[in-house]
Amino acid sequence: MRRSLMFLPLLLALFVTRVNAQSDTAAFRSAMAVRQTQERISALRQFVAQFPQSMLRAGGYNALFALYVDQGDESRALDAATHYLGLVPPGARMNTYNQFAYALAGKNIGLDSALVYAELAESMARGGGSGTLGPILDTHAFVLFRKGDAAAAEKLQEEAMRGHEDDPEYLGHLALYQEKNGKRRQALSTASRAVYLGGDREMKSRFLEWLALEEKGEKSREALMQSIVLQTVHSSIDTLSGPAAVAAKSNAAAFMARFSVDLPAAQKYAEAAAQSLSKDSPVEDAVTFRQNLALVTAARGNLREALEMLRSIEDFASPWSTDFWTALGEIYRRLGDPGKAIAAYMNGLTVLNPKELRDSLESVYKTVHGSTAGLDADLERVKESGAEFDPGRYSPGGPGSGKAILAELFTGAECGPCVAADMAFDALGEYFPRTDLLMLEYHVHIPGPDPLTTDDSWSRYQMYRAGGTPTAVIDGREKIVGGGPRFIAHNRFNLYRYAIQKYVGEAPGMSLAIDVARLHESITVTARVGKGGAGGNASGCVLHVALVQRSVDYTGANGISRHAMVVRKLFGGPGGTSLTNPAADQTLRTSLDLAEVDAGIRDLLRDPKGRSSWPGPKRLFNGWRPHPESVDRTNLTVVAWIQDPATNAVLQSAYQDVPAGMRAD
Amino acid sequence: MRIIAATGIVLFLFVPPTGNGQPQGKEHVSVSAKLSQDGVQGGGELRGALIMTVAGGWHVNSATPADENLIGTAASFSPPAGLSVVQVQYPGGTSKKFAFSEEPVSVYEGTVVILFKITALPSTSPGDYALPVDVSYQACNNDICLPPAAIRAVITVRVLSSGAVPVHVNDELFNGNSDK
Repeated sequence: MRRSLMFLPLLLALFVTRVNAQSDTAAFRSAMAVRQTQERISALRQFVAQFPQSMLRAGGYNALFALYVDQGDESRALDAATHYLGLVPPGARMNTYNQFAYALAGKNIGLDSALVYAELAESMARGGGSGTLGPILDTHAFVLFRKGDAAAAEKLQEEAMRGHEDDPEYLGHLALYQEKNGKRRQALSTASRAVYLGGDREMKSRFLEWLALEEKGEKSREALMQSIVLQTVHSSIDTLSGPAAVAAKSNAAAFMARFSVDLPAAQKYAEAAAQSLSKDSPVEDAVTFRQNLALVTAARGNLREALEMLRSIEDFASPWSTDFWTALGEIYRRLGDPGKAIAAYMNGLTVLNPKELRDSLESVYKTVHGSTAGLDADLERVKESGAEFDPGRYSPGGPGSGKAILAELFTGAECGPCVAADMAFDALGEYFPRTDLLMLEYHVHIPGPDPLTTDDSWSRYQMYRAGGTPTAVIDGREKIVGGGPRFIAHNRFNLYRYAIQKYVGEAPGMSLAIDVARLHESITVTARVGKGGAGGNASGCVLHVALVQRSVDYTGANGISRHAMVVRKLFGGPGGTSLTNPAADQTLRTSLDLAEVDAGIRDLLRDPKGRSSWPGPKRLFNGWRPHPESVDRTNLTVVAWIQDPATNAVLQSAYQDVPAGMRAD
Repeated sequence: MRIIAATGIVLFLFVPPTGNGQPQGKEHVSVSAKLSQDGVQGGGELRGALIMTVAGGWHVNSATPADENLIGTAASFSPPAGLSVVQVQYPGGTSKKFAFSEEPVSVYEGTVVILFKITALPSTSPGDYALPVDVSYQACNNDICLPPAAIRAVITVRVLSSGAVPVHVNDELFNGNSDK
């Protein structure tokens, strides 16, 4: 891949050099970067002792508290908590009290202190008005439960539930207290709803455990489970209609499959949702609906059929979807293929670490390898394979339609989650030829100042109402929001590729050919626009032309040092040129001067806060990292496209590299 | 996970002289304000707190992010003539490592409280004064970052007539503060 990620130690070194090699910030960051737990504890202890005046000491004690709790070291955890609280003004301690109480109760240590913290937090929250009380009461109730007072816990939890009726964690806690207080039927209903709303597997295990205690006979137990599960389903879906009902029924189907309840009805729900999918359906729906159908199919015992369904979406399934990877691993395991089960489980552990998935992985891994000794190293290799992969080459399988798809990415060099999206766009550039896919990357000041930003980029961001960075827009028609760490670059690539391939082979809405001429610093683009195979209508459509630098070297906080297909300027501004004559072919000409582009870049760099691309006038600006101040004349491309402003659909795109020659055509 | 959820969207917040106001916010962050007294005499002072609530799964940079290019949370007051705001105290951030970051980031999650002090000049006439404050922040979750944003709250500070005694309110929040 062209794009390279600088190693963060190097980035850190650059940063530290720029600020102060001996600063408390550098020392703190260095201590936090220590991987081994015990060594990190030592480094943090040294940091808090060495920098008694540092504002970062609070962060040091906070980190120490978390590490000690994790180790179950009650006295050291409480000592760190005391130090931390001593650095926080009393009026600002509410959330800290709450977090400390919950962490201690979760580990079942320091419960007396946890109760004091929880009470203090509650006292502050009750004085602090609405919006803060629910979580504080939820924690307090949990601490009371841990201390053996389930009655008080249940009462408090009922108050905590106000405004959190659909939160599976709150419901899970309530169910726990209800059961402990002898209200098992109520607890079963509450737990069922918690599972329906996404509660963890532990909740489902508890549900089944309580069910077994409630009804000893197999048939009566089955009947009770069916009644509770269906009641949960109907209370959730019966009032919905339209697309919301379709999605809810798909989710209900997966829920019913988890308990093997009324599988024929579940199949009907899941199939209806899968059949509702069309080419225009968002890729996330396509994956989720098919996943839910596969879960029902597996529950009905058709493992191979379910496996085929899951495999058909495996490339696009979210690394954050524990359900998907658990189901895939489980089916492989049941079909006697532990190697693939391990691979599936590991894919579900690249960005998250859910306990149930880790347990399943360890169990199968032990069976295959005899121990879990090499598991973490293997998991690291799986993660790396998500970052370093060969995208392959696109094979159209027939004559193309002549349509070039436009993929646009809004990204930021300071944006951590943009790494996967940026890398995936690089891979798209390797996979698709430029005759089929043209890419543009617009840099914006999200989350921090990015010197590759232009006012034009920000205008495009606003036009699409992008949901933050990264946001990809495929052919103006499909928006895919979100990215993640480098480990999921392959997944993002697959997702973008899936969305792109939906539109590949379509007849272009209009025809577009461009000719780019350069004379010294002046670039002139001549665009010939005509009706395309789809009989497009030029009226109202807009021709956009972008000056693109194919590669820009710049390293921001996310460590990416080389950025591809960076939009440096839109010819004629973000509004483009309106096409007014639908009947006739049209030739349009637009030009710009590279020296003026450079001047515009320098203006923005000199006073970024005075520009429209600066979101938030009150933001502080602390200066740029080392950055380019002009466009590189040797690697410029012009990308043009025709867009319908009513729908944002891109009707056709074209490109031509900017010639290095000095003569005009 | 103990995360305090954000609440609804309101354009402006007026904290009445009773010292209480409903949270207001944009998208994933809300802000409400509290005062320590129902009023202040000319020449006196009272304390205030901005309660910033970040929705579950989201974080904002703390006031002192380790990287100077990150946008720290900041409260910017625009006091009217006769009032001034001093001693703005931000809580320390929580150092947290995210899936996308190799290094921990100093962030606020859940609810955090920013404390400040309001002083009234001796010459300030009795009456209600609007004290606007813009709380600026920048939010991310594990897979997306949002543009920097600001929430404006308008706190109403009542300057009491001579001889009137201010009543302490919101003791749970301010009780024990060292500068009380």
